[in-house]
Amino acid sequence: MNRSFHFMLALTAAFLGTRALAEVKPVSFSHDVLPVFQGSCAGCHQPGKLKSGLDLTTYEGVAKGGKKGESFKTGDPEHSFIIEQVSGDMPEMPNKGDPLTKAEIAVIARWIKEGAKNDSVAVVALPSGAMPGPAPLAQPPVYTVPPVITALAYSPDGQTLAVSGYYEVVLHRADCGGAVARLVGGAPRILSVAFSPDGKRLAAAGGAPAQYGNVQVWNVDERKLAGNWKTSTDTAFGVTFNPAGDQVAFGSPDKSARILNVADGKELLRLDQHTDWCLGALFTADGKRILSCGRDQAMKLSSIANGQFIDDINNPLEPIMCFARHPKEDIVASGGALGTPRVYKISDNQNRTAAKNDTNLVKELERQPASVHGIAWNAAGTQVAVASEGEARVYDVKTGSRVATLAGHEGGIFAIAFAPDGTRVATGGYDGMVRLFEIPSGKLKGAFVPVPLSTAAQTASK
Amino acid sequence: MRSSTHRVRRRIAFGGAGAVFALAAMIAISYAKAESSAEKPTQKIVSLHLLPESLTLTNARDVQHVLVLGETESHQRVDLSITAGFSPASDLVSVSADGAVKPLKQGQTQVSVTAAGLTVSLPVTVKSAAVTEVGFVRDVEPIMAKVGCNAGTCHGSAKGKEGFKLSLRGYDPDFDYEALIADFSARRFDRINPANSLMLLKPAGGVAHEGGRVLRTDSDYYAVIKQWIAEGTRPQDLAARATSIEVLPGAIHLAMPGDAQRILVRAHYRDGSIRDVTNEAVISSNNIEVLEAKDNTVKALRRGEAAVLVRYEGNYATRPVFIMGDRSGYEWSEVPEYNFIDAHAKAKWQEMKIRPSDLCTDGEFIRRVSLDLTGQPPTAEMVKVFLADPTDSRLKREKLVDQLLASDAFVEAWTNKWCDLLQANAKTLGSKSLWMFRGWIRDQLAAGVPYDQFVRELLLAKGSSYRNPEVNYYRALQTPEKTQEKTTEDITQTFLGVRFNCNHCHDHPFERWTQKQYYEFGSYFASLSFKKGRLPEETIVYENPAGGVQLHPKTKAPVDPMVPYGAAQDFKTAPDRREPMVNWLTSADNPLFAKSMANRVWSYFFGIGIIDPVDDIRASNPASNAALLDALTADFVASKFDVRHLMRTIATSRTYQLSVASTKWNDDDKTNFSHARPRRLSAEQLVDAIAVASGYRPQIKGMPVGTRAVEAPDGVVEGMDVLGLFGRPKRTSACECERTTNFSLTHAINLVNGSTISQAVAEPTSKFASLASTMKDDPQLIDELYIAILCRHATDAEKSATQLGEGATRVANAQDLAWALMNSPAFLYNR
Repeated sequence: MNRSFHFMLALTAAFLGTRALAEVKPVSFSHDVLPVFQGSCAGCHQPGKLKSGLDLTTYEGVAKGGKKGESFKTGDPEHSFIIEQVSGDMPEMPNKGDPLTKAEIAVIARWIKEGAKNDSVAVVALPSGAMPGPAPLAQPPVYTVPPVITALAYSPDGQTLAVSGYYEVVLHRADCGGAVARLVGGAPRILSVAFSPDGKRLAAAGGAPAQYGNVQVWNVDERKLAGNWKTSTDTAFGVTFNPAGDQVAFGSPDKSARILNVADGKELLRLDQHTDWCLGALFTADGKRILSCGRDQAMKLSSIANGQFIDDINNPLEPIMCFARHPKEDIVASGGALGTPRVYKISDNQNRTAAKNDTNLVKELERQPASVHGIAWNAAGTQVAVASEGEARVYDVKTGSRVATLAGHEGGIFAIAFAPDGTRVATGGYDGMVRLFEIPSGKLKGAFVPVPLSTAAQTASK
Repeated sequence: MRSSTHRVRRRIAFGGAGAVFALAAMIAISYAKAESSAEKPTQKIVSLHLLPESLTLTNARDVQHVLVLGETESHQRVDLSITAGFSPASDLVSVSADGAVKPLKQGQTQVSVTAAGLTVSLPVTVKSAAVTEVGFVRDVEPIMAKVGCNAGTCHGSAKGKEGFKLSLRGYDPDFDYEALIADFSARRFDRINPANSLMLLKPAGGVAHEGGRVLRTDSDYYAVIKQWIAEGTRPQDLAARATSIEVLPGAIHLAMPGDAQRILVRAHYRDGSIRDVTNEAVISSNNIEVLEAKDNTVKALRRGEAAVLVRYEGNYATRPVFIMGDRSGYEWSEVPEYNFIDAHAKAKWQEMKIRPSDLCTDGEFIRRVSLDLTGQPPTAEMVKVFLADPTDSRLKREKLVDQLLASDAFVEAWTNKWCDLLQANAKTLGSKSLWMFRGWIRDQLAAGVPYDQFVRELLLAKGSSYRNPEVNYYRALQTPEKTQEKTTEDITQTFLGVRFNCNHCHDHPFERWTQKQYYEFGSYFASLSFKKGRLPEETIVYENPAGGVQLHPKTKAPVDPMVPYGAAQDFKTAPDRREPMVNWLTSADNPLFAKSMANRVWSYFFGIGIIDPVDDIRASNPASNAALLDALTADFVASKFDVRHLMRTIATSRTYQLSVASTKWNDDDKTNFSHARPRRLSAEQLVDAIAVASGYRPQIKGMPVGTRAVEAPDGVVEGMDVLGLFGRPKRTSACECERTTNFSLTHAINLVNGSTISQAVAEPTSKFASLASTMKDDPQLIDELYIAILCRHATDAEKSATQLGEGATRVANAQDLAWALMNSPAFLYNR
């Protein structure tokens, strides 16, 4: 009684609104209705969860309806299920969070009344089947404060250091000689960067958290965005090249590890073996197998030729946040969420027994002050550098002993890279500074903010 | 002949069971009965009071409220906050319709507050109206708690939600800070475009969020978080947390159901500042039948007492609420005091406008006190002697108490109770150890060992389970996997009356107990070890110097032993790792040790603790009469922890001796002991009471003929299912609730149709048959049955109600009568 009364009130509001605004502008699905669904409904009614079989993130999904039937009756909001669900004193939906406002319900009702038209522009896939990535920003981003640095990579010749900013990768001269190029894309976060073995291409993976993943491939010499693809519904992690340089692998929060063709973004392989976010993927030395890691604590080895899962190579001890392969051999260094870096042989784990259940473990290194955010090998394959919090550390893999302590950071260190000649380690993180340390002395040899800071904007804001 | 007997019995049976059901129904009704709301008398407001009396505002976000209370002619205070009007004298502040005073410019001004036709002035000082920096601990954490980010069902759950984990209700700001700024390379904030930060997009519905939209982009909360990101997501020292909260008003008296009072919660900080956190605090009622708490207001639902519980950022406060209801016509009538208990009970009765019931009769008293002290009713002979004794009733009752306290039956009954509390069961201990442990407990009670010494010996026990039987307590706490957890939780629950199980996994959400304290307390038992002895099934309990590392589950760092409050000797200098804790625990200065015991013992005599449940003492579970419990505790400590003294004090109080019959002026009282509360006989009491009344005692397997139910050594008694049915515990839990005292259909069916009563009645060796054949006078026989079963003489009407006939009929009819009396509430309940 009470409920239907309020329902009628809402509808009255909707119809009054229709009369008042009809001449002005009809309700737009993409501009008016979808944002309401996005804000209050899409937490559950999205492709990843599909609660009640319903997807409210696209027109097609809304039109299709869910297990309980069609969402709306065109032209008849009064008998539309979706309006019924969100109306009343104690509406059925949303299940969590605040109820929709009367105005929001009115918008949906009016859209249905006006014919439930679809004005959203369908995104067309590229010929390779890949979805196009976000258009690069027209202007490079403006910084008033240093960015959080989330990715670093040295070019194979050791001349260039690629550093992540927001929306961009900045190429710096590795000797602190300054920025040489800004590779501006369209995604706000770049979480990993990698050079191809010949140094001609740079892959950058990231995206917008909880919105989309993005993999970019740049022709380094021309500073040209050669490939730009959307992947899954959240940021891409841990991108790496295969030895031939024609494929990239990465992990996604949709639990998948994927391999894309560098030339056109075609998805060559998708593995869905992880049970939680996949946080990185890499190739074995022969390029024939893929190893992926994730929050489910596993490192999973699979054949690329047929996508066949081979084995978990490790004993699950803690979420694997990052990993890196030995420069030549099938050995991997992994970093755990509880702070322990470990070195493993990349091999099946068939010989494990109850007593010895981590047969591939080569070395367990000392526990770090916090979660391991980044890990890197030197070119000789004798040392690994580990990024955690406050200080980064370099270890001799054979003995497990600490070679150097790289101090002076404020907060988390999210990115770490070894220069190809093995004499420098670059770090970056929360404090927004790139630091170059000499190895093995651990002396700080240079530090810089990798992006131009707008002093004008800074002054203006003060 | 038999068939007629059966018919009679069936008819009576129905009546008996009906009586049982009627009683249960009556109790249910009295609990469910709603307060009839009377017409609200309108009283003239003679003056206005503001709480607080003035305001000092220190920055742009420092928005504060005041409470507006009107005082009536009869000095009652009525909340007028909602209807009051506010008008500022200058443009230094603005005041919203609901009375939120917001600073605009620096300076001093006044706000006039008008209500009920009266006006008072509120002085306001604006120290600054500048926008100050947002602090993570001080500003951001409370918002996350308020909108529910860190709720137990969301990101505050043990595993977080969708990979994002916060500490439950924000008890660990350092952890939360790391999660927000460091997870996945600072995924949750965007330094160059704060509005694009995931931690804002998610709650504001900018991106898919299963928790829904909980923040509006135009809200103050949204602005605060955005400002924090723009200012550089800076951390803040834990010292910035509120150090205490102040809840206004101090005590809440609501006259009638329907009356409401707005609550003001002010947080105090180390730097001396005060902030109005009413909107961010969680306000709830401990008794939702009496008091409703909604947002910032509590509302009376019916006459009674409740407490409003307030928590904010790890601070907790409770305020008592009294709802008087319509008591017109009430007048206090003086009653005597036998001891200090009566004085404190009386004070509370007067406060709540209650009048106590009359004293119970001598017959009721001897039955009640015998059951309470010795676990069995008196024999017919004892009843007759007691009733015939011409001594002044008060004196002869005291004498009886002393007599019972000195009896063997007393020792047996309380040995049984302590076997429950110390979880003495054969399954964990083995039957030989159980016997020895029970024997040890019995010896302590028989010798009157003071309670503190008893606990001390128990908790410092070591050695063989046969030679030092007290070690069996630690053995009883052993489990296949969680010995240390059970030891920690059961010892705190049994000897302090507090529950440490929530803070096993996280800081207690409603209490001061932290997870760290859990492991610190547990660390006292870290080197406690068990090994096999040489005799069969013998166990040696010892302190293993090689053991003794307690690791914190999160940090994996060793945790040194520490007591959760107060101070104890450093464990490193103690001969036994447990000793500093045991010294602290059993100390007269420990505010919970004696108190929890005094309260526990009280509950055994009244059916409800002064704090109830007795083993769940916490700020949010206040005492119904704190002064009474304090006095009882002090007396117990002064007696050097003499439990018999404590019981004597209780049993000789006049309050204990009140009738079960309630009156108009106390029938809704459930917590102030103004009348006795009928308590269903416990399993053992029932079996023993039937035996005492009938003279027939069923044999317990493996025990000598004549053994009482309370003397059965183990929790589970083979061949005597009635004990389990009526709630005898298996003794595997430290909770008093392991013993059940409810009365359900299965119980009634057992009594009416089962053998528990009928066998005792029909047994040729029971006294009913011989009484019926030897006692030829009907009234005399009926009286004898009433005395034996109900501990009182039959009334004249009862004596002449029936004719019992002769010969076999007489026996059968006497048995039927006995059966019916035993199935009546007067027998099945202690009242």
